[in-house]
Amino acid sequence: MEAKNILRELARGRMITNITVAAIILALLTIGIGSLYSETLSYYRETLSTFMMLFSVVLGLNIILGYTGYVSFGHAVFFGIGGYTAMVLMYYYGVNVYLAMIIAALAAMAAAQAIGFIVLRLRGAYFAIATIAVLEAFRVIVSNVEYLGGSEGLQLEASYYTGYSIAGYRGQMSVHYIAYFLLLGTVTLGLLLNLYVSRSQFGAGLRAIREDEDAAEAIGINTWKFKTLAYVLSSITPALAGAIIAWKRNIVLPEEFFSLTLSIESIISVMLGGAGTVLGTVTGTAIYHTVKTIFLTSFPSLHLIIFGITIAFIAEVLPMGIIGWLRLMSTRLRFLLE
Amino acid sequence: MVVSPELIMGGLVSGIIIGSLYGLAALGLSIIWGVLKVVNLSHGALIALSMYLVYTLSVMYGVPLPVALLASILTGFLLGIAAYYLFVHRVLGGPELASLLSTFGFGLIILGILELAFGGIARTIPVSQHVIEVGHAPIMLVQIIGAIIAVAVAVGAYLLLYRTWFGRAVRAVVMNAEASALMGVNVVRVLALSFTLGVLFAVTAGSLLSLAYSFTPETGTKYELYSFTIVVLGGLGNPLGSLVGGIILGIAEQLTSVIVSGSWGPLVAFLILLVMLIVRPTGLFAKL
Amino acid sequence: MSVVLRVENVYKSFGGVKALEGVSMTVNEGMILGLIGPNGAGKTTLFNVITGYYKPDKGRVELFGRDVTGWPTHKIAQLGVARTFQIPKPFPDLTVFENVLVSIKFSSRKLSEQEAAEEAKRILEFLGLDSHAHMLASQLNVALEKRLELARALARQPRLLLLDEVLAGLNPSEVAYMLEKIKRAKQEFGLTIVMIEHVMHAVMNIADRIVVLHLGKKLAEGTPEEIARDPRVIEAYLGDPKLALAFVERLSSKKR
Ligand SMILES: Nc1ncnc2c1ncn2[C@@H]1O[C@H](COP(=O)(O)OP(=O)(O)OP(=O)(O)O)[C@@H](O)[C@H]1O
Ligand SMILES: [Mg+2]
Repeated sequence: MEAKNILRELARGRMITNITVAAIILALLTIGIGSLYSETLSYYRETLSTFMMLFSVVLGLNIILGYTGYVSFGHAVFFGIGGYTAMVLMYYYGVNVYLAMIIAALAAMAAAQAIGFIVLRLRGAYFAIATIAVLEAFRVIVSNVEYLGGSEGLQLEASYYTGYSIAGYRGQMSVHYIAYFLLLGTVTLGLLLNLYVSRSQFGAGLRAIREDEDAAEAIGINTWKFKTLAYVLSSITPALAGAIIAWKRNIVLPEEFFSLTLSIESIISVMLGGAGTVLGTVTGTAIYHTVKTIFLTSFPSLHLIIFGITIAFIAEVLPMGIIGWLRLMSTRLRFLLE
Repeated sequence: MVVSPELIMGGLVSGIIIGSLYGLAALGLSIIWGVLKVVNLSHGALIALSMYLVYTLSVMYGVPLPVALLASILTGFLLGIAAYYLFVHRVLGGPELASLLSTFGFGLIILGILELAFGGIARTIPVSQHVIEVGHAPIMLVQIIGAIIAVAVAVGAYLLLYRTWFGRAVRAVVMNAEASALMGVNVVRVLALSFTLGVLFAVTAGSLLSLAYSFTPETGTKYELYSFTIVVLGGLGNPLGSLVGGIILGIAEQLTSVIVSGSWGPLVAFLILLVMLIVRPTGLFAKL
Repeated sequence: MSVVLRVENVYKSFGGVKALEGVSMTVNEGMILGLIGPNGAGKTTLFNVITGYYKPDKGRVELFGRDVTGWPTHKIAQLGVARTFQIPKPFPDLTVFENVLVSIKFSSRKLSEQEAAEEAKRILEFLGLDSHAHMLASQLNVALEKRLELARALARQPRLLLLDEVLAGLNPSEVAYMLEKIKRAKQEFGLTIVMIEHVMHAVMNIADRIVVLHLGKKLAEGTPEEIARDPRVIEAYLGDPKLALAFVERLSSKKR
């Protein structure tokens, strides 16, 4: 294939991805606006909110796990840091959710820098385990610090919500709607970050690190700087989602915010779709979320077993994920599916 | 808070006792990691499973405790063989993530079954409350027996790995699987047996731990992280290193519980783990 | 002629193993230096010290007239140093084309996407890899893997190229092919090359100078003719000169 043709196929692939991403965002936006005026859409609003919460974590995780190859097994730690930072600001200082989100994201980025300084010198399984330990450590600390509400968590008063309103809904009535749009904003940011990583020189460097870190150094990549930056970027959308969910549910709890389950769910989603692909994050999260919702409603008590079977199945049969598998099918698909 | 020397002494003694059980559990993780290069993320779930097996037999069906323990360990053994072929064999030699995920998946299946059958309520196995004074510290006889069993099993594992034909085959496979196969070692069988052995140690430790503390299905996660910490402390595939690492962790945990508060105990483990990973990821006692 | 690489009195040990003990050497611009020595002599370790993978316990490394001792690997690479690995380290789940492309992207050249892709294409053609361009690197056989190592290094358009046994495990016609490519690349890009090699006739044929390492020390240095006649080298390394060729050929055919 000529260089020109490769570039043309690549450009076509990027166009397809752009259109897909834009279509998803528009569809979500439409449903959100629709739900403001039609009660029948409220079910979709809620299930899509849950989807977008997971998706926010997945989009962050994909940067460090998918592109950089570092298996962050406790990535929900940033969801927790975001949620708790925002809650402290809202609970003690009455800060509004928008400012709280921004500070939460900054706090998570600072935390990622600090945690990364420790864990990013480890590779492979050692890194994975260290990230689990970090998550568990945060959970233990948070459940023991009174200022953070201990194991009871912190809960916002109803009066906190009086200032919020959207399209005629006021106070607590408005929260579910506003949260939906905030989550949509977070997901949009996460998709843009992933598109940037996928197409930039920075992302090329991350892929090289994923494939072979020594060889990456040898071709002039500052691997330490690159992977630290990747880790910091990967903390943003999980933290934003944590802040939004803390506000939406009006409570933070150690188990729910520093949650191994959420970490695992995001790993499943990334792997199912295809790690290190933009389309894979959407595909994987959508499939996982749909299947989970169906099973959770029909067989609520079986969900762990079904999780387990799914994960083992992916690992043994489809470790490269759906999009990753399609990309292997032909050179053309490799260029087309980003 | 005043911390008396007796309290410290008590912390030390119970740290050693409980730590030897942690060490045995860690040995299970360590062998699998060392021989198969697989980090068994179903480790914690297997430990939890063994606890519920003992519980089911002894509390629900009134089977005498020693029999219940043996039955639980035997079940773990059979499960280990099955799990190797179902969840491990196919991902060997693949990317690290694949083995992490498939063993984690196996663990979730176990957890799901436990949640389904027993729910999240904490269970306790009533045991003889007979207490012995060890250096002013009251320790339950059952725990002492448990610790003795754990040490014996760890020493047995050491002898098995360094003094028998099987041990030589294992170490040959670790060094070079291809060459070992050429020399007539049945590599798959060695791998399957090593995995099973690892599971066996985990369930033995779990069965004994079930007599010491109350437990829920989630409890396994804690022991799994403890085991990682100990493996990192004691070095891969080194039975005596695991035992020593376990005792260090046990003492650190128990002393923290005595001096600060029980709920901070696990944090110490995670801090030790992180510090070790940074300072000396090959472990304190790793062979070079 | 300017000095490209100067190694001064470098020491490096691992635990009790003294891999390098006071090695010094100088490489001038435009030359091919052959680095030979028995297994475990410290050749790869010397490369790792030069490229910053290891910090020497003692001694200095100078590149293009600058003291780079203790610099991180990527900074040394950015000075214009490229290397191949004795055990090839391709980016396995990227295609051959992508392997070369990423190397071009991180070289000092500022190329547009189009130019970079064309350059990648050109390098793949140069090494006869164009028909494998869209295969995953993990699917290549040893010979092609070695070519990809070389391609990825050349893609950086380096000033100094360090080759660690690029001929090991190749059959005679593949050896000849690689030698031809190395010579041509040197002419085209004006490279300076240090090559570690066990394939003795090859290195004798291509190198301007040869350094012999033995047990971490420099045993001898000189032109290929001088080395071939040096009694210390013959004793320590080659044994009976008549058997030398056969011996080193056998060495070179072992695959690690
Ligand atoms: N990272 C390391 N840790 C411990 N020992 C090492 C390390 N790297 C090299 N060595 C030891 O240093 C010595 C020199 O090794 P080196 O790889 O440099 O030899 P070499 O000349 O390249 O040999 P070969 O021809 O086999 O490639 C050997 O004894 C080797 O075992
Ligand atoms: Mg070498």
